[in-house]
Amino acid sequence: MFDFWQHITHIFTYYENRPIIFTEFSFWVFFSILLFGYSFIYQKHFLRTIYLLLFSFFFYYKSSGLFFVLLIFATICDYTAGILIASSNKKWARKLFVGISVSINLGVLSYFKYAYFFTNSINSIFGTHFEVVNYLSLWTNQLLGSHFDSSTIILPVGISFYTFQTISYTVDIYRRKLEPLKNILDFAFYVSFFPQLVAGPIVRAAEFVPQIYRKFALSWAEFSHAYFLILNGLIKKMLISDYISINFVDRVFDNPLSYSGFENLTATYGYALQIYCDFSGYTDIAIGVALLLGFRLPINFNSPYKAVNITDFWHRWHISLSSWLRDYLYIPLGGNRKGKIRSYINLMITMLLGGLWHGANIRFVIWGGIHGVSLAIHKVWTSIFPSNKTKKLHWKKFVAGFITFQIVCLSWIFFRSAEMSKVKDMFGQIYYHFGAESIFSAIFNQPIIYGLIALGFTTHWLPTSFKESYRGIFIKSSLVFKIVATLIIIFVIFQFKASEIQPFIYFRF
Amino acid sequence: MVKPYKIFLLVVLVFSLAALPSLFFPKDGIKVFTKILRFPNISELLGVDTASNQQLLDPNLKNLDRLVDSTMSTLQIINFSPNLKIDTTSNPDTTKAVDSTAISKITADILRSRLSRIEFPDSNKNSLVQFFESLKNKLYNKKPIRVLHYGDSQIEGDRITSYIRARLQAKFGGRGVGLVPALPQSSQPTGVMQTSSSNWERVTLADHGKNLSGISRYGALGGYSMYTQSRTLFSKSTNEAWIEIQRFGNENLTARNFERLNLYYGFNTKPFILELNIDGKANDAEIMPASNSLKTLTWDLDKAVNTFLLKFKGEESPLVFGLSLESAKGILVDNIPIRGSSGTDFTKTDMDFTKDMLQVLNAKLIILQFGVNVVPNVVENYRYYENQLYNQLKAFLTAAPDASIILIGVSDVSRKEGLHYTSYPNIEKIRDAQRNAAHRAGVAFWDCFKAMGGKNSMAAWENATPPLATKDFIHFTYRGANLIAEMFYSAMMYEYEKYLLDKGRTNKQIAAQSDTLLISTPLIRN
Repeated sequence: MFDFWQHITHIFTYYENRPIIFTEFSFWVFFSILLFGYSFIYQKHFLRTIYLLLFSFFFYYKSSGLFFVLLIFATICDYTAGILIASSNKKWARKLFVGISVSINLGVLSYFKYAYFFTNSINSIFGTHFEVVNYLSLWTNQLLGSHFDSSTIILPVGISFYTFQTISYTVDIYRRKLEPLKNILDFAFYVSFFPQLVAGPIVRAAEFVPQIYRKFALSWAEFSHAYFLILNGLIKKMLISDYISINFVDRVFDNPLSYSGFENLTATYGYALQIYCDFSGYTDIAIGVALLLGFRLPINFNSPYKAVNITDFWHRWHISLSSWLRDYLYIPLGGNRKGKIRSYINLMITMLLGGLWHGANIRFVIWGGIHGVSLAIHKVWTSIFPSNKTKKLHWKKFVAGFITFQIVCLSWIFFRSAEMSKVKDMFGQIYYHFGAESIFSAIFNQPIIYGLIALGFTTHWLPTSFKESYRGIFIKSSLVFKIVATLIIIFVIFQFKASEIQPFIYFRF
Repeated sequence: MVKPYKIFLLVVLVFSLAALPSLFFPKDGIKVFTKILRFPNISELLGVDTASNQQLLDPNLKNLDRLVDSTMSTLQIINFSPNLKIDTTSNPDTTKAVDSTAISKITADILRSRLSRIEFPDSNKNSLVQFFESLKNKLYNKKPIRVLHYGDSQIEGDRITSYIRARLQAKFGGRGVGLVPALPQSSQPTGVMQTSSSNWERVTLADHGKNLSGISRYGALGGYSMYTQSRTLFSKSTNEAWIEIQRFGNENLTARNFERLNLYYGFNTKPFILELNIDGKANDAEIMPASNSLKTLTWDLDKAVNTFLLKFKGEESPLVFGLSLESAKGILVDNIPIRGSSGTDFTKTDMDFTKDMLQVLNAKLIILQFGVNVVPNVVENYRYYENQLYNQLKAFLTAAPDASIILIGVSDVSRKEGLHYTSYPNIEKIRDAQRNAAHRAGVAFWDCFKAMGGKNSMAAWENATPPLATKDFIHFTYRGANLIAEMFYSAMMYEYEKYLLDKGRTNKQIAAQSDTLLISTPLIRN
């Protein structure tokens, strides 16, 4: 009995590095408890909102502890800003309020995300010795006598995502595309709805808010689709992404010089697969979970490595982010309405800042830069050789897709490496020590890894019609079939999770 | 329409069915062919198991890690002005430089709490005497003394060594990274950028038996390099090769500011031409006669010059045993990684030759750090390893009678059992075998496994933020390497201070020379 209570307190305590995530079994306990209560109230709008809001708050508290306060703060600020913008008739007043709202949002985001980046940059440029102080902890300690560490700043979970959501809300009201929400609880629910809170997709208020007032409806086909997405996401994340990262990709990126150029190159491709499976797997589950509760979230990935050019890639990769950047950064900068040169500059600014959004490091800026330059080159290319959309030869598509994929993978090296020196090491290994003679031994030493990478990419590159057909089969299948399939998948995933770490490639270190 | 309660029932049903087999199958799984299949039990399914079993880093270790991190950058950039005397006691400037840095931040308290002491064999309580005497008598003021750090991939890329070097050089003086092979290693130390022509080939003692040349003279770096593959590839023609060394990185790095270049070579049956280019200008071309022994060439280098290029011309390559980037005084610390080695290959080589080279190098301390390569092959008994290591240590004692020897034991290695990372079951046995070998040979031993925190500590090191070990659960990150190096260094300095105390120095005299002040705090006495 004692043990039981210990578990209960575990559940309600915040642990650093122990958030509730979809791939932990504990999430599904959380979700089933939620569903149980939901069964009683799902038909009453107001109760439903309050209920899901409370669970979402709990979910965020488990991920972030104290930073919970920031979420509330952002909610109150932007709710107020929304009302103020809508109720002002003067243009300058609307501008002022939207300006304040965006500044607060970006200010908080920059402080938590970029304080180190900017202080270090300033210190290294001007030789100063500024130090970063965590004011949130400092103030809390002064107020409550607590002992949070104020000498370091930790990035609050999901802040990049919900900040973009709240910005889109106030800006849309300013653009008169959206009416402000009457009830702050509805707004809080939109900001903190747990399936998309931590890692997206970035949902627009215009898409989400109407659903709050709609009646719960979930057809058998929708249910089956959600079920499919969740299983698909679990396989992507836990079977492919987690396994190849811990047993291969992380090791190579940690220590590029210990591996041949071939292994460095395949680790880069492996990482391309890993990050796709990780991220899209997570959003698949988010979309599925939200759908089971009766909420529809936008699609976020559409087989991105099938892209035949870099513009196409950004129409398929993290779609909710790229469309956000287009609507709230590229277009306000002037988009392509101010001439060619300006549109290239705007594109570049958008991609560089988009890179910085992913993390406070020059590596992410370079990553954005590679994409920005590639997008610009593609723009120039299409203006010189306008493509004939009706007739596209297969080999041309293949070559274009191949080049696009290589560029994207090149950019991933910067994205993933822990530091710039490692990037240099990887290029050095690939260029100078490719190790063509040891290709076969490298593959046969890690058959499961190379097999999984091959399997992952093959599935990814299957024709959409084929993927649709097996999704259709699953949707039409009986519940018993679905349950059996789930059990098999759980069992296989568990074997991978519980399997030993694969031995080091050469067994000699 | 699918109602929420149906979904609820479905989730509960799926969980119950998934947990069902664990009631009938053993916890450790069943073996199907070569794979072990396991069934999740209910606590694993509910996730309570993983949450409570995460390995956490000892808080003291975490504090130490932070201090070490802030110290490292300061340590590397202690700038010795050229005419500054190295002795810290007699020169107030250096003392000040050392004291004012973050080093003093590493307080005795934290170090003491984590001090994992060096173990001495009963037969030889003074087994570090050669090293300690050379420090006490300031032999490093006449010509540099050397610490050679041998190890496996755990020390590759100057890990651990660089920190020990920075610490020792800050205290006793000295500059440069010490020995490097002709063909640069895959990861280079900071402060230097070395490139070589592509015709260099390197043979290390880990390859011994595989190469057909039959040469067993590997020298102090455990390997030699040649630029003509079968020594005379094109018998009549002249072969050329080069090695370029550049000063690299921050101008104040002690590693960058070496002032002397040594070349160790020999055993060429034909003469060859050697030329040193300085900043692209030819300088100093000489014909080197045929030789049948170890030869050393020394160049004094101008600190203002950045690029040095050694050019070799001749139809037969000499065996190049290494280069040294060093100072005229002080302590030199060499990083000598031999990947894949368990530290048991030295006796296969010509130790008489190694002895000659160690003598020339003025070796005063030899650190051997091996063991992780023994781990993956789990056996009952490690007597064989103990005996092999014992033979190596004996061979080193004969080869370096003027040097002290210390063996650093195996570091923790984790593997996955179920959902958790745990230490390999044989780590302690390997550590014990190493300790026995050291004690039988009369050599000092430092228990790295214990210093890390003992059983399951690797999982905690990997799990730390920022990580102290890499995801292979074998190797330290640079940060982790610095941390373990600080612990080793303070253990060594503790013994040194104790040695001085025993030799009649007063606490005050020691304190003046100390940066750790372990001894002068009264709490430590055994």
